Amino acid sequence: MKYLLFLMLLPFGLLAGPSQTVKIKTSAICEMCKERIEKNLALTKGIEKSDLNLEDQSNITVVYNPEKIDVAKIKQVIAETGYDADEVKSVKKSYDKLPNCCKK
Amino acid sequence: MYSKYVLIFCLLCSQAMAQEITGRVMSLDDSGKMEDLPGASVYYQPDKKGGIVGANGLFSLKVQTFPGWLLIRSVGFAPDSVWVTKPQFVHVHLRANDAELSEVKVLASPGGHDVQSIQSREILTMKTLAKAACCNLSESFETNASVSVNFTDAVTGAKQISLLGLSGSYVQTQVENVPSIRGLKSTYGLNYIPGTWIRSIDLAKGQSSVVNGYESMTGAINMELAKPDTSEVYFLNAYGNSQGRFEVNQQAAHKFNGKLSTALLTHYSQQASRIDGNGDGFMDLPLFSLINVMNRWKYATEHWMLQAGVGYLKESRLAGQNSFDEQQSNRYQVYGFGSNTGRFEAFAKIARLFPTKPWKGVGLILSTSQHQNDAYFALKQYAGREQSMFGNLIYQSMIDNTNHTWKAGASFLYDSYQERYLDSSYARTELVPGIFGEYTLTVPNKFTLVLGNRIDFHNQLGMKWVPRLHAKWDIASDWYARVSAGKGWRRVNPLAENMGFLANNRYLQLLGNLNPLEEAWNYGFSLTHDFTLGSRKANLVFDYFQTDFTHQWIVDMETAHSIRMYTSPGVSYAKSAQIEFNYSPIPRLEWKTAYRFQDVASDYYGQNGSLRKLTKPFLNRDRVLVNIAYATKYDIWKFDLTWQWSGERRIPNAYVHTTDAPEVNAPAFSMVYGQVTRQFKKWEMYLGVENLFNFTQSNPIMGASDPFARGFDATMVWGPVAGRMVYTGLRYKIN
Repeated sequence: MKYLLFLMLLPFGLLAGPSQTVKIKTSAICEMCKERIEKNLALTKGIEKSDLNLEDQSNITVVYNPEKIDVAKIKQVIAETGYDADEVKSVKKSYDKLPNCCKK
Repeated sequence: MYSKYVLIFCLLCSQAMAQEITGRVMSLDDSGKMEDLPGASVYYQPDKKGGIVGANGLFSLKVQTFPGWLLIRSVGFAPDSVWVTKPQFVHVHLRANDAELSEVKVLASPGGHDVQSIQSREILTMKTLAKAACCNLSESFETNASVSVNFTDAVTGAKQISLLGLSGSYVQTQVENVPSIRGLKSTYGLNYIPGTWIRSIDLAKGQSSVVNGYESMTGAINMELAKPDTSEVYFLNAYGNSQGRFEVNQQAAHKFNGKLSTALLTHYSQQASRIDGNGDGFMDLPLFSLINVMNRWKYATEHWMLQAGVGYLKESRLAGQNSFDEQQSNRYQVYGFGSNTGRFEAFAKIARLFPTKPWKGVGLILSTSQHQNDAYFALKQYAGREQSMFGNLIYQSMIDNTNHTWKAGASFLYDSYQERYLDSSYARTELVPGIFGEYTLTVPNKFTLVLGNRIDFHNQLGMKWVPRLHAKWDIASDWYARVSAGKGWRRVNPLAENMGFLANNRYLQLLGNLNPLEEAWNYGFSLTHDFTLGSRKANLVFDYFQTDFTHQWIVDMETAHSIRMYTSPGVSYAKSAQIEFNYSPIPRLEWKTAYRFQDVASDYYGQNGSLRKLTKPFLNRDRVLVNIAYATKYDIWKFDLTWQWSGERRIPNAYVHTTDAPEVNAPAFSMVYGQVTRQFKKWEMYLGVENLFNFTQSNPIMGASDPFARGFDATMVWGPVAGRMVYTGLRYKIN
């Protein structure tokens, strides 16, 4: 019985995959920036959780599923939101659209 | 002994710190220009001490506690705060408040009540509007406690809003301060403003400002539509429902440079399938198709703002018996209703701005429209044409400082109507020049008073004087009281406003010497209290408003087989009280509960010309609304549930010919609306239901089996005609 249950749950376990964690430095400067980056990541496939710490050099801790997304892609999402992510510079078009209070 | 030393020490230190914060407050614009801001208010939080900036732009405050926040605000500027650590001189620069910033502020208040406004008003933002995804202005108020929407009859599908117990004709409805739903447009006007075009709805209860005209009698609705410079590059909304309605809204916006931008808004909707859920042989909803297009432009520099646009709409409606066909049916045998509407609109708004003096400005609003409607109710034919022109020039400035501001200006209205009904023609031209002035006194953080006056010269109704007063008192930082009083008037459009009443076989009788003037005084007050309940934000709003008519056009259906219209022979009033509670018990959960009480009555002509006071028919005395909205983190999922309960309402006794017939009441009923929205990166999808428990009025059309007999009457509508409706749709955005 226990074996059967395990077999039934196995596909779900495989789908979820093992999650990984990455820390990326961003150019966020305020609560609004934090909200914006975290929201955009939440809407991205493969991202399980993200938390941006404004007090720790605006580092963002992202928990993701490596089968669906990689670190380069995560950085790209942050850049497309209008912020620098480690060595990836923000996309200018998105940066220009940020409210004045969120610009560097 | 020790404590004594401490006491002495403390006395010493507080004495030592009874020192001054001094400073200078100036305005600052984008080009770096600065000017002193006399009249701005400063407030030091730790000591709860406030002051006013003097004529030289300087202020000083005697304070004791350090450090703390110093708050600086001035009318027309974004408030600012400075962290003060010691007695020092602070230099503050305030920037002019732009509209988007103030919108953000409004969002923050629970329940959508505007805390800062002098009037008792509610702002329905896009977030609120998205709660009821379908479809146009008439459906935007499902989650609002103050406004109710009713069908005028069971055939045409025309809708009327009611505010404070009175119909939409008494509510001044404008789009960006340009007159919108009035004149012939008032028949189906609520359907002509697509929901996705609307960015926010500003609902003011009681009298509104004299600057916007004389026609507001119970309140005013002003809508802001999508703007060329702040809209998405492309927006698409598609919608479909289980009753066969289909809708597509598209918007495109383009910025040519920092100054010039344009937007194109389009709407198409149609009801293509014939629905007869109650089996009375009549369509529950009219078939229709509506095309609505608008192109608008904006040109903004530091000193000038120019906005202009054109709009066009075309609509056809068809309703009546299920088997009715416009071409083939014999209209003597099959009951049919048809209506074709065409409308052209254009507007321009020009404003001269003074960046360092945001309290100063000149604005000119111009608009024109052409409206035509051709309709038939079986054999009764109607045709209406209207040409309208409107202009409003407003100048605003201050006396001494921004605590005394004033507005003055002049307006002009030209309205020409040609209508035909049965064998009679009615034509009239209205010319209404007017002047107005408004003074605002502000005692920062305490009291605001607005006194307004206007005089208009109507070519048919003569000179009319309109005084209005608004006051707001901040009793404490979490208690606000508001008072308003004033007069409003309008000229009736008897046919356009009562078109729904043609969907019966009653005799239309016009009694006595009819005066087309409607005039009323409205006064009311509201109390707002913000508080925390278990560390979560809550707010309580109570308001009471009363409208007393001095002249009114009465539509009397109290005797069977006739509609009588006459000038109010006695009293006519509407009293409305509402209490609303907004609470957010956990993050992202909002809960609204409201109860509304209305007492609306008029004198009607009884037998032998005697007067008989009756409550207004089709209007419920009691109403309860509960709305619960929940969103998961980052609004990825949104859930919304609304329950509306409407109490019993009186309906005219249609079976008895005498006017002293016993009262008949329609039962109370509930409506439940629900919606789920899922957001994705570029688009979102929603699924919802209206009238979940499938409640319908069992016989909305009297004498439906023989629509050509005297007893046929589709105007006795008090409840929903169509049953449960499930809808789904999507919104797609390119930023």
